[in-house]
Amino acid sequence: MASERYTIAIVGAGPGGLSAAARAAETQTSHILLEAAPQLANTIYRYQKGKHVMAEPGQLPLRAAIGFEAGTRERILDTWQRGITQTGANVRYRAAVTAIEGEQGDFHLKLGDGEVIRAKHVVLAIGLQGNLRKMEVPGDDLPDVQYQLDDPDAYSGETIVVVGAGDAAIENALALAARNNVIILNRRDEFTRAKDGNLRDITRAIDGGQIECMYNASPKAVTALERDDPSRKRLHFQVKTKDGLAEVLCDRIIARLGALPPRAFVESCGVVFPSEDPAAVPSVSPRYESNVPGLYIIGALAGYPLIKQCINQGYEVVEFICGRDVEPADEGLLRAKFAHVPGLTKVNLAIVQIRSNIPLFAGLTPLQLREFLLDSEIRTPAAGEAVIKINDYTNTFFSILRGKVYIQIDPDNPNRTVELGVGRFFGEMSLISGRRRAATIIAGPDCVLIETPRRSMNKLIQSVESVRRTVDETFLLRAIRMHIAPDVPDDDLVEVAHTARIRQFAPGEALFEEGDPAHSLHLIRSGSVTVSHEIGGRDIVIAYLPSGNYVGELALLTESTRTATVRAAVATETIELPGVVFRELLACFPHLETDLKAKAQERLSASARQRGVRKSAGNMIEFLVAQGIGEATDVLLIDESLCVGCDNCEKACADTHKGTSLLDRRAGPSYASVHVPTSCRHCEHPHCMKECPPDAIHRTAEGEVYIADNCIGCGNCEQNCPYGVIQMAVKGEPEKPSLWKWLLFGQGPAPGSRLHSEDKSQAKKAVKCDMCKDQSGGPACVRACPTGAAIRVSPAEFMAIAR
Amino acid sequence: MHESYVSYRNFFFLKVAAGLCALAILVYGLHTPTEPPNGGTWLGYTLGALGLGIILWLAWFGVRKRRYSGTQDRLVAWLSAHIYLGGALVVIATLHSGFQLGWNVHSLAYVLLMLVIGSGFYGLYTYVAYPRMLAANRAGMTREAMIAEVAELDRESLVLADEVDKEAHRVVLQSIEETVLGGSWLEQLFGDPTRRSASAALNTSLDAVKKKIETRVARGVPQLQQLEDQEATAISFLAEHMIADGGGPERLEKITRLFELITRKRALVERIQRDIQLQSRLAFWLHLHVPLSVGLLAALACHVIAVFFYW
Repeated sequence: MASERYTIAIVGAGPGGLSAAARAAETQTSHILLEAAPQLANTIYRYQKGKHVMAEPGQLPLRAAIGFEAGTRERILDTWQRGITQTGANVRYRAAVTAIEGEQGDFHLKLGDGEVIRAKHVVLAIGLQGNLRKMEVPGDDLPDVQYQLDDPDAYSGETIVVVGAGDAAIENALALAARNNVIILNRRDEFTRAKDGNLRDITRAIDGGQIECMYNASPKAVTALERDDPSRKRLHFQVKTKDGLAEVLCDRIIARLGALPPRAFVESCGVVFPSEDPAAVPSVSPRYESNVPGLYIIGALAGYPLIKQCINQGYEVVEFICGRDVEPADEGLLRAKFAHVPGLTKVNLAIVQIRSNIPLFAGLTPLQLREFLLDSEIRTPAAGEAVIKINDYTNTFFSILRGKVYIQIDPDNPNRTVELGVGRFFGEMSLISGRRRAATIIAGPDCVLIETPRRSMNKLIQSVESVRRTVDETFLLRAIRMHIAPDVPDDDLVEVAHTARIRQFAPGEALFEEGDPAHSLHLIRSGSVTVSHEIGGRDIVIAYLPSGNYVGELALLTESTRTATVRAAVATETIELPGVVFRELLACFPHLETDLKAKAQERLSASARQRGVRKSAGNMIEFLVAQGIGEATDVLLIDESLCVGCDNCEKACADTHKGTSLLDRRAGPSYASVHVPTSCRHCEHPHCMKECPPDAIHRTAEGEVYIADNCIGCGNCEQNCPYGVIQMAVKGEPEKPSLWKWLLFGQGPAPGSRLHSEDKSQAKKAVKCDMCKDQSGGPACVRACPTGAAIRVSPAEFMAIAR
Repeated sequence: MHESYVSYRNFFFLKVAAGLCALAILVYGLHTPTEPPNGGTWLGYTLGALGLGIILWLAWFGVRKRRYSGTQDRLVAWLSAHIYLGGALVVIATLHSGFQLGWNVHSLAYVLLMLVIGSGFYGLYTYVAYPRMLAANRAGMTREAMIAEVAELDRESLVLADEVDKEAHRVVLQSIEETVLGGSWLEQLFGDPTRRSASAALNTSLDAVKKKIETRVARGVPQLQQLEDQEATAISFLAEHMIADGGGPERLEKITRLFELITRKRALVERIQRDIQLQSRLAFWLHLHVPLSVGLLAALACHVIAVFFYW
């Protein structure tokens, strides 16, 4: 029996526990760190070799006695090991805590071997990964059923069933498929939870037959087979499917079903959970103390899953236990952000004011708001300054903390403006549609604005329901006002907006079909659509409409059935307005009807012209839409009847981009002599921007999507781009080839040669077309084309001409 | 939306070149030198200087084409000007010579100039005509994709042939081994793409089968179904022959499929050969134009030095 009573006993040597122990050692506080595994940071230890570990949120400063920055698994583990050794922290490995009893001042921690550790305070930093979710069917703990996969290369020639449809399951299945016969078991009929890149890879592997997938299937029972079973397999796996019970004979089952809070254990310590939800975590005070005095909870178990947060909390919890007050790690940064705002020098005050002034953020916890503010900029524009310029491709979101702004509603007359006051927000249109700014917005006197980048705002919209709802409602109202009913008073529009709903369409899905009865009008919120007619038994596309347009008004105005079929060209969202409400609106505001009818007439005659015109134009639109041009803002098109295949476009690209051509002229499909090479389209909602850990992909005000220097080379964007236009290239600046040396003396590579770095060990970085944004004269590929075959155009422009 | 180098800015450089030629002809007509017209008169010097300037500027195209950064204008403008101003040189240089030609370095320069211009115009013809033919022949596929498909067809047909019998396997393997793409530059430029792709071994073998069958037909066994293509006829007969031999419908299916694969491959190989041919013809003229230009510059240097030396 141990006689020593420690001041702090820390349970779990993950990032949080490690940090707490290191800080305790540094301040010479008596402590013990208890770890069930034989090494530090077991979860990270079990990551695959060489895995890149992120240090998010990037803005949050690290405050700890041990180091941590983004890097490989090995480097991070090494840093921590050294940190623990240097600080002289007291760690006990293979010490699984089975029970915690007692109270503040005298806790008893029972270990697996029966030993009891006594401590005045306990810090629970056990995370979630120690409690992996099991299949919960008979036989789920047989020896060949596992819930983790350390090294996929350790298995070969086996039949392995991977259970799960998340990223971990997909990544395991793909890695195992190289040397094994893999079956993946998906509870649903598609992989909805996975990252885009993983989704694409698994779909490809299933279509290509490398992996077999059982959809709508869930485990029923597992039994071990006899050693001499004729099948020579080890497990008999019963699976429930739509068509009844299926039997699978396999060697191994790997179920990747996530992790759950180790509720039973935590509850046995006296800690109360706020709800019955299995994913619920116990609530803690701002000082990380649970409802049991003296028992502190930090890290993932307290709801903070990011490594950096855990490390900071490990440090802070020791400070709190020792009676030292620390301000949050981000305090200094936030103070700096507000430093230039008169009267808002205290962060807490600013946060109170934001929550009371801006209703949109009232529902955020202070922690969420702090994180949100860390990503945002506080701007104090001078009166009369343009905050947003019309037709810019910027996509930040603005909230008004003080003062007001003026929206110029008439591009031709800057004096016609609408005022927006405290608590309102703007910029959501470009954020949602991915298109250019629709209006110029001018700052009023003494105005204070919060400008939030696209990614942080999207994160907030996705994670906080009240924010999503408010932004959507405002977007709806403004979109209807802007495109359909400019002069209708707000009150009338609010009612209209309430009846509208947001609809989502998959690429190719019909909003409505020719001949359908007309019940509603669609305003395209994001994405784009094609309009087609049936001519001679075939659907002929006659028009392409990007977001900001509306469709379906014709049938409502003429009270007829649908005159054309409208399909989503890419993933598209529309605002659907019921026909009844629309007609009521027209009845109240007759001038609206006149306006809309005039527009409709224009469209009708255009469409009538189209019906007579050659069908190939329609086919061209159809072809381009099939190439995903529907979501492009600027695309490289090559006229094959002019292209002589000199590759000067590629050479120009390589010459202006460190020896790597970012376009592949030959690749890509063609139709009627229009060739769409593999080259960036600068999508409205760039797929590459999703899941960029350092948020390195941005769009300039002119629209170019580019990758900034803080790229970490993780390859997510390369995987996520459906058009294959992103490459991983070695960093560094190769020497530019000399034209004269090459031309006159044949020395060195020719200008425009593909240059490879000698140093293979150098880290790679993602590269893509930036439309030569840093060069005057426009894209080098177009400038260097001798025959005029290569052009860069906006698809809407091009398709208007194809018509 | 695409603006071609031919019609660039509504034939702006054609108009410039035509204007230049008209002006030169007009002045030449009005000019009455004391001696017969030649490069030594004031007009001769003027035209010579103008011609030299244009030639040097045209040669600069080789440099400008490779300057990818630090340029504002589009290369298509340069090419358009290159073609039309190059054409104008025919008139300017001829007037400069005063129609006096002989066996000397001056006339050599003139002849080389005409050859350079001639090769240039041949190049223009290929640039106008071939891209369309290339695109039509490729029909949306790249050469790499076509070659990959040939390899895939080869692989499939080999597997299938193996399932038919040893003889079929041997024949198909031989046909694969004998498939040659490209060839020497002469073959690439002038060869017949359809002839070179057909595998001699396959044809011989199929011919033999056909003969065998025909003798049977003469005896009235299976029906000779005359198809358009010789190979098609042979294979279809081969199939019937197999049935007659008791091969069964499965074997028939395999043979029919094999036939399909081989025919598809043949068509594809023809397309690749044609692609190679068109591409090499498209690039070939430059192998005349550039060396001749270098020769021209050398001759021109001699011409200018000689003129000033013997002033």
